[in-house]
Amino acid sequence: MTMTEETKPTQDLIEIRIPLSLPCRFDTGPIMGRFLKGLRDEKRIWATYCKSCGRTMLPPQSVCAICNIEAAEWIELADEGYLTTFDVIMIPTINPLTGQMRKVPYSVGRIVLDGGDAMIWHFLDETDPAKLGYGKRCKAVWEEVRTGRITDIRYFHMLDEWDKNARP
Amino acid sequence: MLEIKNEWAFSIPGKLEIPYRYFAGAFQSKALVALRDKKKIMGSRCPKCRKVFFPPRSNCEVCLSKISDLVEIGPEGTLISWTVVNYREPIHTRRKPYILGLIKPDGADSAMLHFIAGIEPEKLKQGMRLKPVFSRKRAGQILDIKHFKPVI
Repeated sequence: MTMTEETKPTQDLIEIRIPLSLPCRFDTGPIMGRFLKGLRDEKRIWATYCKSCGRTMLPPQSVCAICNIEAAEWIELADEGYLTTFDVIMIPTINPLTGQMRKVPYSVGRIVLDGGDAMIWHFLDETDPAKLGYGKRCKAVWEEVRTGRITDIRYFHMLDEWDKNARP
Repeated sequence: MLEIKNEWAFSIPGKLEIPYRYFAGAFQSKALVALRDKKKIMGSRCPKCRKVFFPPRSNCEVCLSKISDLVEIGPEGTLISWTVVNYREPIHTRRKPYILGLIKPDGADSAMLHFIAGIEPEKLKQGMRLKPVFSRKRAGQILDIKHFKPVI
């Protein structure tokens, strides 16, 4: 049998397709609420730092996960920083928020934002791995219409500079 | 102490869109085709321990033997247990309150979960005889049976 010949199935095989469309709701609470409203209303990135160990927490939390004490204070982080690790994804998967296949290639990266030691994972606008590297500077590109989600930052735009203080 | 203002809290609506696909496989498809075309409920019978299961599977869940026999079960069955669901999520197909019951079809050793309609929940009794009501449009899925109702 060649690939071009039509083959009739010898048996009726059942496939059940159920497009699950699940509405959900996230109630933020005041701390996550300030972070997300900061993205939506002010293009500001609110985080907290622990007075005991100095860790920066993003998204903000009132209890430090390492020290287990309530010693957090607010701190504002810049919307730019340097790239640490990154992935360029070549194989499409379904985006569960839209039900559609993602367009490939696309890049994601772990960025340390200026002002603390917290990191944020987000999309990058560069898909050539040769142009990405540890310590490369990048800056957030904000959406015009923002809704209070992490996607209010559309992606991080890679700059042509390297961070002086980045420690591999 | 961290400064916290209650007015910072708000609610974000979201949605998950998951295109779910289930492949019944060669064995189970035979049973689903019989349900769709002939309104027959088929169970799988284990050659070793002789137990009959619904939904039909090609491996016995008791003794792990391979099963290749489909036998007709029901259509009537006995009510084993039930619950009344009093809330509705958008994903649910039935309005509240609705009854979910475990029905053991005649000839089967396991019970199947399905809707029960045509009777008030207070009148349900364990051991009641029920029979399936089939959907007019059938596609080879469990909802080809619309629900079970009492045998009068």
